[in-house]
Parts: sequence; C-alpha cells; structure tokens
Amino acid sequence: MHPLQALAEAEKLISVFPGWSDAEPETDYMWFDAPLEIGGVTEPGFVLHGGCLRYQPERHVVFEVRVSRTLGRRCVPLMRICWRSLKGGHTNPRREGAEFCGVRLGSTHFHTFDQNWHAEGGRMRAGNLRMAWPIEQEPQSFTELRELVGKRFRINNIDVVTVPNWEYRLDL
Amino acid sequence: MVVLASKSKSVAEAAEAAAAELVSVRRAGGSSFINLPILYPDGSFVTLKLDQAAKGIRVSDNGFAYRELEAIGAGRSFAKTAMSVAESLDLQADRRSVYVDVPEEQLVRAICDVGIASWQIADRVYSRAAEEDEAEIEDYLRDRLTKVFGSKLKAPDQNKIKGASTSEWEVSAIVEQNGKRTVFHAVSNHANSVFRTSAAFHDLLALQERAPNVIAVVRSKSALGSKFGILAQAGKVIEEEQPDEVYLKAAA
Repeated sequence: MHPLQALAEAEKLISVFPGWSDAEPETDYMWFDAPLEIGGVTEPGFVLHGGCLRYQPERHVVFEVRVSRTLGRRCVPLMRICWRSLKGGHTNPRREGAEFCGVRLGSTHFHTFDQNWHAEGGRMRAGNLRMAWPIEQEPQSFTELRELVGKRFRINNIDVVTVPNWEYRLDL
Repeated sequence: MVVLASKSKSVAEAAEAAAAELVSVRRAGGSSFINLPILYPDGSFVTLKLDQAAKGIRVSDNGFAYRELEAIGAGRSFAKTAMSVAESLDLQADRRSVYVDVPEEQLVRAICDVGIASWQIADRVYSRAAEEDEAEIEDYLRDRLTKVFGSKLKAPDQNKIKGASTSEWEVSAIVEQNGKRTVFHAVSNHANSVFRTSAAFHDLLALQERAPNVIAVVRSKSALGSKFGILAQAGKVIEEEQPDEVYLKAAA
C-alpha cells in the first residue's frame, strides 16, 4: 500500500489540539493545524487543518487532512470536508464516467481520498482535491459536523476540537 | 419542425437557467459574497467579499486564493505573485488577499478585475508547482542516465541543442553514442510541460538526417491521460522507473 493511502486509511488520533488561532487581520480566517498520530506515533508533517471565518458563525467551515512531503514545505491535501461554504458549492471536472462529474454540488461536500487518488500514478490527482461527493444529510451544527469529520477521517478523538470563537454581526 | 421548435425552446430554457446560476450573491455576517463563474484548483467558485469602505466599496478575494496556495504549502508564494498580478490590473494586495476600493459606478469592472486576479494568482502558483514536479523527475533522470550511460552522458552545461528553426532548446540530458545524439527530457503531467516538450521534439526532428533520438521521460504514461498522445506523436516515451534495458533500447 502506498504511504499516502496508509495515512488516509489509518485510525488516527489528534496528538494535541493547539486551539483556534486569532483571526487573521486581512481575511478574518481562524485556523488550527493539529498533529495526527497513528498507533501512538505522531507522523511528521501529518495534520488535521481546520478553518473558518470570524464573522461567519455556523457556516464556511473546512476540515482537511494534509501531509507535508518535506517538513515545512510542499503539502499534499488528502481529504477535505466543506460545510456551508460561501464559495458557491463545488463542481467536479467533466470526466466521462466519474460520478457527479460536471455537476454543481451544494455548499456542504466531501472531497474523499479515493476520488482524488490516482492509483496507477501512485499520487494524488492534479489540483487541490478537485473531486468531491455531496453530503446528503447536512450537519445542523458544528458539533454534528465535528462528529461527521471524526467518522469520515477516522479520527477517534475529534471532540477535542473546540467550537470556534465566532463573533456575530448583523446583516444590515 | 415541431421537434426543432421544442428543442430550441428547451435549449433556451437551459441557457437561461445556467446563466442565472453562473453568478450568485448572498449576504452573510455583515458582508456580501459574490460567486463568479471561474474555478479555483479545488473546484470551488472564485468568490469575492464586498464591504463598505472609506472610499466607496471594498472588493476583496478575502484570502480565498491564498487558501488554495496554503493547502499545498505554497502560501509564501502568494505575496510576490499577488503583487505582480495586482499591479497589472491596478489593484492592491496584502499578505493574504487582493482587493480594491472603488466608487459604486466602477463596481462591475472592479468585481471582474479582482475575480480574474484571484484566479490568476492561484493558477500561476499551481502551474509553477507542476514545474517543480518536472525538476524532481529531472533530478532522478540525471542519476539514472549516469548509471546507464556513464561517460556517454554529456555534462549539464551542454544540455542545449538547436532545432531546424534555429531555436535553441534546453533539455534535461543529452547522450552521445556511436556518433548519434539522444535527447532525454523530463516531462510532468502539466499541459505546459507536455506542449513545450512536443514543440521542442518536433523542431529537433525537423533536422531530418541530423535529427537526434528524442525521448520523453514521464512518471506515469497513464497519468498523462489524453496528453500522452501529444507526446507520443513527437517522440519515444518511457517511464522514469522502467529498467535500464528500456533506457538503452530507447536510445539505440
């Protein structure tokens, strides 16, 4: 089995949850990179990334499993779940025969490892996890989303991820 | 006639429905978000955030292009690329986003410019990442060719060769044996890499009796998809991890 497949399929634990960052002044983005471990060993460069926007409570949240090829340099995203994204949903390339090819998916969707893995090439497909599946039953809260992420990413202590410190602003 | 009329109506309806979906806007968290009909490398739509600013309305990509780069560990490439793109479109850029403040009457143009800028920044950096893949194959190739061909492999500073057009092409490696030159060139899966190699090989083959052997070296033929056909029309194609005999046979 290819090492990236092994990472994707393994049962994982968050070694340490570092907490959400302060919002970036330019973008209001809040994030964390939590190291992941397999069988008690923290794998180098292997993290769960979480992200959201300070003034967008209960929407536009992303969870992604990534690994660095070389520490601190090139990263390879392995799988991602987008929840209530503000970026217009998602479209898969119009590849003949692929499921959900060429159609627009909703704002909540799952970029699975298998869809984005190129088995013959032994690598991820080009782009940034550009294939995704719809998530039929949209999580109704951050807590439900967190549970879904834990199941789909096989992260057995996902509940250590706290609810972000969102701020509320009126839509005037 | 009836069928044609019916089809025509259906196409018109489909066109209207699709056009209505191409651009969408929503208000959320005190800002307006506009989704445009161009795609980031993750398959999401280029999205802009609009807020009130001192000098009118601020149109910003809100760091969405930056996030695309950060996902592949290329966040540090944002500032330089964004500055160059922003300058050409008369926009501003900071460490994470590209934006402009405009009066309301310039809003449509500003949305187009910031949208294109955000897309271009992501596209440029992703294209460069593909070129880095080419460099990785090239490093590997050099080691393999040294092992297979020894002293017949020319030094790296002699890796330039002129084609029939008199253009000089820089290639990954040149082997010279029995009075015949063989050009090896590392090719990534990116379209630019394939097209550039194809153009170089066609130009070299146009030298006719003086033409060298031309061999493209790729990670995986199947991973090239339909681009494999373009390479195969121009020269021999081998995979980097094939046995030494394949390298020798291709160069014979």
